[in-house]
Formats: sequence, C-alpha cells, structure tokens
Amino acid sequence: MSKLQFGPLFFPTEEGPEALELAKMADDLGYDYFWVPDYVTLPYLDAFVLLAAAARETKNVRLGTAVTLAPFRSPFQMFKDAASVDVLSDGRLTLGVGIGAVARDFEIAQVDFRKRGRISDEYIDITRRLLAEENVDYDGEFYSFRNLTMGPRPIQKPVPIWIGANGQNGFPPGVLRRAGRVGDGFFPTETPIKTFTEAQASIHEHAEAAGRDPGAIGWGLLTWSALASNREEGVKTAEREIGARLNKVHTVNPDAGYAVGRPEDMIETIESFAEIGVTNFVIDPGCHPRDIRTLVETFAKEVMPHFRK
Amino acid sequence: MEFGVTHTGLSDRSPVRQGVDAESWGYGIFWAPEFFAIPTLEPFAVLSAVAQHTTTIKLGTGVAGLALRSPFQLAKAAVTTDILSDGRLVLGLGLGGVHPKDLEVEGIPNLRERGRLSNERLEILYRLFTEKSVSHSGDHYKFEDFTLTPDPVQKPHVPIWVGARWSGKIADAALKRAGTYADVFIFPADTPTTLYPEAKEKIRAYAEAAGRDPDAIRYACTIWTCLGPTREQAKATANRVIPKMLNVPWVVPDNACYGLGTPEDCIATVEEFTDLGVSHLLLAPCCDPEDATAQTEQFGQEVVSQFKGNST
Repeated sequence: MSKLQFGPLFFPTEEGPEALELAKMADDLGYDYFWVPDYVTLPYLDAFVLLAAAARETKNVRLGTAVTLAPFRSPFQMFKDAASVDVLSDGRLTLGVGIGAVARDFEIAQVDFRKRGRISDEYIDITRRLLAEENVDYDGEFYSFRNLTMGPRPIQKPVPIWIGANGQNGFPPGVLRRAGRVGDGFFPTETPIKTFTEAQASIHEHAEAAGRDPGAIGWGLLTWSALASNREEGVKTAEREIGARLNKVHTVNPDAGYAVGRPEDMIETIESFAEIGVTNFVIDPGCHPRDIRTLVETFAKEVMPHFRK
Repeated sequence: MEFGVTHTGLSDRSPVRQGVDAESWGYGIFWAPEFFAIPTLEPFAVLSAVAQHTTTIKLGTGVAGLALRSPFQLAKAAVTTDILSDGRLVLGLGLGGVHPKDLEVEGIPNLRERGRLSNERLEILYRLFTEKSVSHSGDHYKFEDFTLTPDPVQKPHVPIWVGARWSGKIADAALKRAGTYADVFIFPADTPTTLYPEAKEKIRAYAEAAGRDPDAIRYACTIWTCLGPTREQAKATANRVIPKMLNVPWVVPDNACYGLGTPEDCIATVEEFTDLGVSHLLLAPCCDPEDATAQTEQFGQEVVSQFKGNST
C-alpha cells in the first residue's frame, strides 16, 4: 500500500483568521494537505485569496482547493489565481476542480447550468495548458487565442489538477472522461466503493485513449467525518451538520466513504478505500463548526498514526 | 499627505518583502496591480499574503480590472482580503485591459464594450457592498435577491477608489464612475494641473446626481518619481526610462507634477499636490529599475517622513 495522505477541509467564513489557525494546526500536526472549498453564493471566503494567506502561515502542508468551480472564473483568472498561490507557497498548490452543483451559483453568475460540463472542459483545458506551457495556441468554443504566455510562471511543473465530483448517484460520463483526459488525480465525494472502482476502470480507459499513463493518476476521496460514540450517531451528526452547511436536507449513505463514529470506525472506512488504491483522504468535517479542531486533532493523533507505522 | 507604493515599482524582489519594507519606510498603502498580459501576481492573493506580515499598512488593488473578472468573484476576493487583513483593504478599480492582449484574451471585442460591461459590473459591485438582497436587470447580468456574504470588516463597505487613464484628457465616463461610486478618485500621472478644478467639478456634479455627498470624495494621484542630484538630471533619467517602461515615445511634460530631483524638490512637488486637493500619492518610480528599491527607501525616509501626521 502506498503512503496515505490526509488533509482537513475547512469552510472559511467571516472568521477568516480561524481558517489560518486551522491551516497552521494542520501543518503542525503533520497533515499532508489543507483544503478549502469555493462557491459563488454560499457564505464562504474566496479559496485562492485564503490559500495565499495560508501559504504564509504554513511550511510543509500542501494547499488545495476542494474544489474550485471551473465555470465561474475565466481560465485566465483561474491561471492567475492558481499560479499566484503556487508562487506564494513555493510550489504547494493542488488545484482541485469541479463543475459546480449549486444551481443558485449559476443563476447569479449568469452561467448556463446545462452547459457547465462543456464550459468546464474547455476552461480546465485552457487553465491546464497555460499553467504547463508557454506560447499557447487555442481554438475553442468559448476562447481562441494565439501565442499566449501567462505569468507568473508556477513553481511546480506542472501544478497538479485533481478532478472532483459527487458519486452519490453514480458519475456522469463527462466527469470520468474529464478525469481520464486531464486529471492528475480524481477525488470524488460521497462515493460507495463499487461506484469508485467502476469509475477507476472507466477513467483508465479514457486516459489510455488520450495517450496518458493511467498508472500516474492519483486517487482521493472527500470523506465526511464526525466523531461520535458509534457509527449511527456519527451518521446523524453528519446529516444534521452537512444539511446546515449546504442549506438543504442531506441524506447520508454511510457506505459512501463516511468516516464517522469512533477513531477505529474511521480507520475501517479508510482501510476499505485504501484497498482499492485511494491514497489521498480529504477530511471533510461533518461535525458542528465548533468541533472541527477536536476532529482535526483527534484524527491526527488516533487515526493517522495507524497508517504511518 | 499619504503615500503608496506599487509592488512592481520596486524590482523583482518578493512582493511580501516589498510590502513589509513599504510599511517600515512609512508608506500608507501597498498597491498591487492587476494585468492578464503582464506576469504580475493576482492582486488579492498578494495583498492577503502581505497582510500576514504587516500590521498597519493599508493594502490596495492598484487597480483591479472590472473588465477582467466577474463582479461576484471580485466582491468575494475583496471581502476575503478585507477579513484576512482585519479591515485594511483599499479596493482600487479600473477598467483593466490597458494592454490590448488583456482584452483580446478575455474575448471583449472593443473598448466601448469594455466600458459598458465594466460600468454594469461596478454598479453591481457597489450595490452588493451597500445593499441587502440586490436585484439587478442589465445588459449582461440579471438576477434577484442576492446578498453578499460574509460582510467585509470595514463598514459600511470597503473603500472604493476609481482610477482613470490619461489619453490627452480624462474620459468623462471615468469621472462619472468616480462621482457615482468612488470614495477616492485617482488622477492619472500626467493630468495637467490646470485640469484639476474642472475634473473635480464634474465629479462633484455626478456625485450630487447620484445622491451622494460630493464633499466626502477625496483625491489621489499617481506620481512619477526619480531622485537625483538636480531636477534636470532626474528629468533626463525619467525621459530615458519612461519610454522604455511604457514602450511609447515620452517626454516629461511641463504642465504636470513629477517628483523629480532632490528630496527638497520632491517635497515642493508634494506641496503642489496638496494645494490641488490631493491627499494620497501613488509612487511610480521612473529611475533606473536597479535603483528603484533604494530610491523608494530614500523617498520614504526623506520625503514621506516630512508629511507624517497629516495623512488621509
């Protein structure tokens, strides 16, 4: 089993300094990543501006978006945001990208919800090329340009791009194609093991079809996590808190990679996904915001050591 | 008078180091510009990083380009920076796309369209900062009942500074944007001193038309600076350096205020700006690039220090 990596996901609100403290805490506790999400209409801070500040408060932890949404920034803006965080963190950015799911985000930002897959494909493709190459020529549906080199040039060559999605109802073919064609990694949320292994097979095929090495694709999972006296209590906590965060009723499928309950329950969930090759675990707090520090600390002290023996 | 420095104005040292130095040299605002076609860092990312290493200096986008990004994303980046700096953001806004390639890559067909799009975005941005439950119906955006959250630290909103370009005149549209939305209007560097009263009158009229207090609007100006043994020698350097920087022919005009010569010469120029009603100067060093850091430090110690205690 290759080395497992862990990182907490934090939803930064008006308590911005708290997010920076948590980033520092993750760094000090030996986590591999610190993740933040990105939305238009939900009350969370801008992912890249926050990570730029977090870069100054941390030394080793990688800084990731889980996920930023491709349709809401032009690929040039996305390049600037990503390259700037990469430069300011001396090469610690992982660009997790999704296509968006909150309908209100699209309504407000005037992006056609039905076209979000196509828009995202092109935007991610342009961003990826601008991050990796100079003198880029592009002919697309939304943008065409010649001989474009953007700066600052990122430190990492290239900045890893991970594709995120929700596996609750299986994955649309577009997600799997995108991950196979351009993803350095695939890290969905709410995905049962069977759905995940099917996705891996499909992504392998898409990668091969695109002339890429499928063995180089990394696998991750956003695992909603909550400490509780047992799994059932943990599921209840996660349903309540995730619902409050996303402002909608949320039903938990406990088989979809939920690390809830006691530390030994969490270890069991992680082991089951590690067996299918998942190595990058995003600890997505399914607990009340006031309990996040306890979760992050307990996870680091009682779950992570099990995988680092 | 308060002074500001722009990070690209100082060599290629790390922007964080530049921000820390700017604070220690007595400057009031550290500015980060925004371009797509020039390899500058994203301004809000730079400023929030600098915020972690400084305590008092204000952090300004100088300027963020309205034509380059969505107003919602711009608003959120601004709020995030204001929160992470505990209320030190100055939101400088311009159209963006000074370089033709900026517009080209963004797919904006012409300058007229750039202006219309930018005006609509500025209106949305201003309303997101000043109102709850905003509904809007324009050429580019239509939406209902949107409230920006979280709120910035600064109330009632982050200060909005509006810039303009000098193209032989200042476009009336820029004065209108300033009067309608800005807390501070930034005069371009080459504005002839004789034009200030007229421009300010127009801004005041637009402010009144928008139901705002014209007396509350303040003024800033970009100032080219080059220290030298004499004003003439500094002017010769400026005449040599500026055309290279801007890639256009250039001669220092006689009718605009340039900070050239000894610290005493520069102090006299700053006093001219004070008389024009300007309360903030954004430095644009036009010495040889390798001297820019040392000159910015010297200017801080020998000129800025003379104006302590009467900042904006």
